[in-house]
Amino acid sequence: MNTSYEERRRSFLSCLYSTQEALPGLLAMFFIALFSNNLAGSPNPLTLENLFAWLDGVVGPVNHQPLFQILNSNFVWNPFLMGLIIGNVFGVPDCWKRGLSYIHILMPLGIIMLAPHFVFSHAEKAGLPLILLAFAVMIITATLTLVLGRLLSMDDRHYSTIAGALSTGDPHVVAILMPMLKSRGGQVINALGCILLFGLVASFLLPLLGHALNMDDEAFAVLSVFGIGNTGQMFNAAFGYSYEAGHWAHYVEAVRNALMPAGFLFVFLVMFIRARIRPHDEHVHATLAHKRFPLFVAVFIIVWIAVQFHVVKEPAHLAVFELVKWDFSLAAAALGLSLPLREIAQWGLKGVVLTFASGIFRIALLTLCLLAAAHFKFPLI
Amino acid sequence: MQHSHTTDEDGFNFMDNTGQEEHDRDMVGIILAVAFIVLAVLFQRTGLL
Repeated sequence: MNTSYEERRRSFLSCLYSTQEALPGLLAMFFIALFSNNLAGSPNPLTLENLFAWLDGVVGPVNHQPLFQILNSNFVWNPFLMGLIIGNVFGVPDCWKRGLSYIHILMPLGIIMLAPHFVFSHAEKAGLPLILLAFAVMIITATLTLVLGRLLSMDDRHYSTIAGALSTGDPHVVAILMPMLKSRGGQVINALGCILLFGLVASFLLPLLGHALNMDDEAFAVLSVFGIGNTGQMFNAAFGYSYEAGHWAHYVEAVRNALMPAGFLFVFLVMFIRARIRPHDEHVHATLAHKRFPLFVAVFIIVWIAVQFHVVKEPAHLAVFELVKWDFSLAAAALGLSLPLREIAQWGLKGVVLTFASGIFRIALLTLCLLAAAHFKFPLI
Repeated sequence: MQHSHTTDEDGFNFMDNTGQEEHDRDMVGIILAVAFIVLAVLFQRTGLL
């Protein structure tokens, strides 16, 4: 019979287990990461990333974008996909499981190391009006998604994960929110799928709306970046509208990136306070397992504030981001291995309904703001 | 009921993260993250990066 962790604990390093226990799982994560992404220090050319890049070359660009970028191939998605296929086809041997539990160390590690990536001054060039518009739309979208999710009687961990990812416009926020909200793996990937599906559909339909309303290039770039968000998909929409709009989208994207932590921290704080106010409510699950404010979130906020003073300059930031890629590649491999497909499907299609309802509302709100700005000749950029 | 995909024969669930073990895992993650960032900054400031 398994002894409890408290019984075998000698120090806080006991969570690393012995090498013999952890090594098989760590090696599984390591090799999946190694064959998924082009990671710093790895000379391996046989990666999923390179395979997708080769296929991109065969297919040719779509609206000046590589097809697999539009389909969200990146350093989180690739190892997750590989882990998911391996786990579901061959299963996960018991001897891997302690090593795979390192995902719980990698998550806070990766989230804190992401902090130098979010520097507010990168957004300053776009000007205060656009920053305020983006911030307001982000908070309104998050709030609306939380309210709608509750009205749809969804699990609060599921709809709050969608709220964080949709409002920030980055589907990978689901991975950041996973340890914060204590979401289940199936909920996280279900939410990720919903955001990607919405982004994919919107990225091809949005240019039609832009042409129908005769929007100018700058306004349409703003609509693409804050109405879709996900990098490959928003550029697909913007370049699908016009080459100039695509260039403006590159200019505006820095705002979305800089505001991202405010979006997921807002969702986390709302759910954290809600769980403290109603701890005995049977419908409250998100963040409930946290007995107090999570230390890694506090450290993230401190580091995030520190980097605003340009403490982590280039190339130190690039070096840290390469470590983030390693970290999330390993964690995504473990997550993929842990998830039977039925666990993703069990959360149903309500997430799709919620994402499309909130996403369409956000596009409508942004369109109204942009048309009003054009009508009153208010310079947003 | 045990979950065969995440739980082994000894009852160890690698997707479970609670109590003292969660606290210790967070601590290791935080120490490594801060160490990596500090090292990267120090390496840059000393001209090693």
